[in-house]
Amino acid sequence: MKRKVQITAGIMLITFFVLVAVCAPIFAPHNPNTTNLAMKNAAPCMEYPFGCDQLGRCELSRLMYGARYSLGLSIPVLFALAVTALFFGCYSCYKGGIFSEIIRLLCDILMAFPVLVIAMALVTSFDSPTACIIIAISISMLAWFLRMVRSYAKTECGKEYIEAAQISGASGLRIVFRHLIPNVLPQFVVYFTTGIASVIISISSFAFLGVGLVQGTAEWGAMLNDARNSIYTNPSLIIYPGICLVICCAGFNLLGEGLRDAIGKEDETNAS
Amino acid sequence: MFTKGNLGRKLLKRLLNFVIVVWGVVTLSFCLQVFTGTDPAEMIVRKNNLFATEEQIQAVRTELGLDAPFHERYLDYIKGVFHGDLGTAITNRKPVIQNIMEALPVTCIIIIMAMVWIMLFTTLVAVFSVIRKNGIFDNAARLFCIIGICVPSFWLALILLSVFAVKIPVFSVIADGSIKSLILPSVSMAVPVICIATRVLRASILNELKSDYVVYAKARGFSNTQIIYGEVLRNALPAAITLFAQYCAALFGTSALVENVFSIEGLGSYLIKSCEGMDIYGISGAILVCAVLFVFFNTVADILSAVICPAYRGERI
Repeated sequence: MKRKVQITAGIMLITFFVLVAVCAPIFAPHNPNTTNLAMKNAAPCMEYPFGCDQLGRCELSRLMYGARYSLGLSIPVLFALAVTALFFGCYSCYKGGIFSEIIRLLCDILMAFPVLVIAMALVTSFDSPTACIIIAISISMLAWFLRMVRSYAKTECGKEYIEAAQISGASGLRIVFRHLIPNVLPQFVVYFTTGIASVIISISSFAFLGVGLVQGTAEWGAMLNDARNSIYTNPSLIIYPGICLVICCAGFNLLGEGLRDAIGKEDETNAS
Repeated sequence: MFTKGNLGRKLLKRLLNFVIVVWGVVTLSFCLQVFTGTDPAEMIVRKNNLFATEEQIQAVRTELGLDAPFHERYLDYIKGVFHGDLGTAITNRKPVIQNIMEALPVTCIIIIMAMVWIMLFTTLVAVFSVIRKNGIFDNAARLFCIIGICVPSFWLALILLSVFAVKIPVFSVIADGSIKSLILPSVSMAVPVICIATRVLRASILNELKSDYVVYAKARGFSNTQIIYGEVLRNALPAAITLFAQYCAALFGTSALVENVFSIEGLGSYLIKSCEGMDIYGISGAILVCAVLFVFFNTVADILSAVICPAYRGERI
C-alpha cells in the first residue's frame, strides 16, 4: 500500500514538472527575461503570482522555464549513459579478465573526481557551457552507473540460470542481452531514478557557482545565485527556486523508493 | 605480516589498487593541463602586458618548459608531484602547493565538524529508528530523510544564512574562521549527508538483525536494545566506516558550494578563483588534491574495515 502511494506521488510530481517544462511557453504569464524595473522586488499580485525578482522579471515564469534546464539536460543525458553503462557493465562482468579489470580501474579513477570539480575544470577547455555540463555529468555518472551495474551483474552471474544458458550453447552476447540485462534492469532502474535527482542538484549547483550557464539564465541554481544579493531586501527569492528543486528531486526519489520496495531489494548499502 | 594470509593479500591488493588509481588521477590532471584550450605562457604574459609580442610569449614558454616534448613534460610533472611541486599559480605567481596549503586548513576544519555532526546524528537516529521500528520516531525520521536527501547543501546554507545571520543575528554573515562562524557551514554540509547515511545505516542494522547470533542472543534473554548496542552495532560498523569515509571524501568535492555562500577562503574557493582566473595550474593542483584525498579516504576505510572486522570480506567490484 505504502509503496503504491510513493510511486503514484513520484510519478505525479515528475509528470507535473515535465508538463511545466514542456508547456512553459504556453503557461508562463510573462517572458522570463523581460525586465520591468518598475516592478523591482514586487510582492505577489494578480499579474505576478510569485512576485518579481531584483530586476523586475516575473518569478513564476522564470521558475517554469527553469524546469526546462534541469529536466531537459539531465534526463536525455542520463538515458544515454544508462544504456552505455548497462551494456559495458554487464558485458565486462560476464567476460571478466583483463577487460573487466581495466573498466574497474577506470571507474575508480573517474570516481575520484567530484562532479563539481570536473565541471569547473572543464570550463576553461570548452566554449559551449552546455557541452561542459554534459561532459562533466557524463564522466562522473558513467563511472557510478558502471560500478552499480557491475555490482548487480556480479551477483547475477553467479546464479544458475546463467550457467544453464551457457550449457545450452548461448553465445556471450546473447546471454548478456537476453539473460543478464533483463535481470539487472529492475535494480538499475531504481538507481537510475535516484540518479536523476542527484544530477538535477548537480546541474543547479553548477549554475549556482556560475559554472556553465550564461549569467541571468532562468535556471533554479542560477536564480538562487542572483537572489543572494537580495538576501536582505527580498528573502522570498531564495525560497522559491529551492523549493522547486527539492520537490522535483523528491519526485524522482519517491519513485525510486517505491520501485525499490516493489522489486523487493533492500540493497541500500549499495545505493550510496 | 603475511601469516594472516587472506588479510595480508587483501591489504597488498588494496595498496596496489591505490597506487594505480593515484597514478591515473595524476595522469588525468596532467592531461587537463595539456589539452585545455588556454596557453599558460600567453596568459602570464598578457596579464602583465596587453601588447605582448610572440617573442615574449615564446620566451616564457621556454622558461616553463612548455615546448619540451610531450613525454618529457609528463615525466617532469610526475617528478614534480612527488616533490610536492604542482607548478606556479598564474594568478598570484606563488607555488600552487603553497596556495593550497593556505586554503586547506579551513576546509579541513569545516569537514571535520561536519563529520562530527554526521557520525553523531546518523548513529543515534539510525539506532533509535531500529529499536522502535515503525514507531512514530522511525516514521518521522524516514520522512525527514526522504526530504533531506533532496535538499541541496547550497540552498540549505542560504536559508540558514538568511535565518540565523540576517533575521536573527546569532552568527555573522561572513565566516571569519573561528569555530563558531563555521557552525552554520558545517551543518549545511552535514544535513543532506546525515539523511542519506541514516537510511543506509538503518538498513544495514536491520539486515544484521536477521543473522543467527541475534537469534541466539534473544534466546539467552537479552533485550533488543542490549543486543543492538552490544553486538549489532559493532558488526554494522564496517559498513558505516566505509560509508563515512566515502562521504568525508565527497565533502571535499562539494565544499566549494558552501564555502562560496559563506565567503570562506578554503580549498573550494581557491578552485573557483582559479577557474575564474583561468589558472590552469591552480585548477589541476586543487583537483589533484581533492581526488587524491578521495582515493586515500576510501583506501583507509577499506583497510580499516578489513582489520576491525575479520568477517568483512566485502569483495570490491
